[in-house]
Amino acid sequence: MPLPEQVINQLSREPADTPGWSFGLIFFSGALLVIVLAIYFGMTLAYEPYLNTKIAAENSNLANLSQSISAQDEANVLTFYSQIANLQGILAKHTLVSQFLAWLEQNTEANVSYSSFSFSSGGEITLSGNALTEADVNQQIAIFQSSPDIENVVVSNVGSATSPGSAGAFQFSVTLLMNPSVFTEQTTQ
Amino acid sequence: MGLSLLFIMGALILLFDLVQPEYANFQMLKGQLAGEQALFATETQAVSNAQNLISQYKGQSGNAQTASLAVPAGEDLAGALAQVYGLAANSSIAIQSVGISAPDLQAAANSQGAQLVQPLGTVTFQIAAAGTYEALKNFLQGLETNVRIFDVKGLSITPISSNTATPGKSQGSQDFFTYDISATAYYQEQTNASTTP
Repeated sequence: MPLPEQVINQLSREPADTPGWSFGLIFFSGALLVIVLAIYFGMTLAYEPYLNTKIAAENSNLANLSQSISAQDEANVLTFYSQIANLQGILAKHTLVSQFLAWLEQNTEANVSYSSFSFSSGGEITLSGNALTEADVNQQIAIFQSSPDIENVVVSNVGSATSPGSAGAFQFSVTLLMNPSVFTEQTTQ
Repeated sequence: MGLSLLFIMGALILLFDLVQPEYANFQMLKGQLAGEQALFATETQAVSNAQNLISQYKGQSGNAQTASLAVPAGEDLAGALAQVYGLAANSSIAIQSVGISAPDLQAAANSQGAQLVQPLGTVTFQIAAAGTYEALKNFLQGLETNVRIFDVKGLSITPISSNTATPGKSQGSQDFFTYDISATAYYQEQTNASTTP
């Protein structure tokens, strides 16, 4: 039995072309290209200028900030800080020689007087003194040697007074190395 | 099919040759921006602290003036000399001569914030004077408590005449001496700015 003509026609027709699939591929690839181009131009024409503007604004803010404190005020504060720091160092080593004179008055025997006095910044004191008797000289030297405020006592000379106007019959010379605290703080003696 | 391949190739070329380098550039710009924003925040805080400090300093103008008198900016030899002569007059000792040594600058010794501390200078005055022992004590106390700081570095006392005198004790001997006093005054290296508000 022959096939119906309708079936023969259907079978003899060439397979249908697939224009939908091809169009879809072209559309997809074209869209991909367009998206990449859009991203590129968006970055270069919009976002990059935006970032650059923000950076410039931050730079400008920083510049304005640095000018918000006047150079004069800054210098004044720094000078004041420096003065306080320097004062701290100076006062820590401030010497009070008058305090030593008071100490010497309190630590001098009744019949002893001094004819010369010399003080140097290392705390070294050189004294020349006069005493009525040799016992007074000895007592004075003993006072120096027993004092905790003196680190070292060097007696360089003891002898009879030679100058006619001397206050005592005996003269002596002594070098004292004082404890630095005598010159820097109140002593209780 | 060929056109699709062309589009895809073009997209890939654009992606790797243009977009990717541009993205790297963006990352750099964003990093720079973040860094500057962080710096701005830090600087804002620092400026705020500095302004607070300045306002405190302006409230301490009296102390600042006292500090400027104690350790002036610059040698201020005239001021120091005037103070020495004034103290001598108040103490009734007669100044015979005043020698002034060359100013000497020394670097700040503080460890903390030493870079902010200006060098300290010293001027040494060699004062030759005459007067009584009590006058000397008053003069020394005046020097030691003067608003401009003087450190007595050396002192020599000798009687005026050959007669024995008595520093520290009066035993009826002549109470008149010559004094050689070495006193050091301090100053801070002078800056361009004024030191008082």
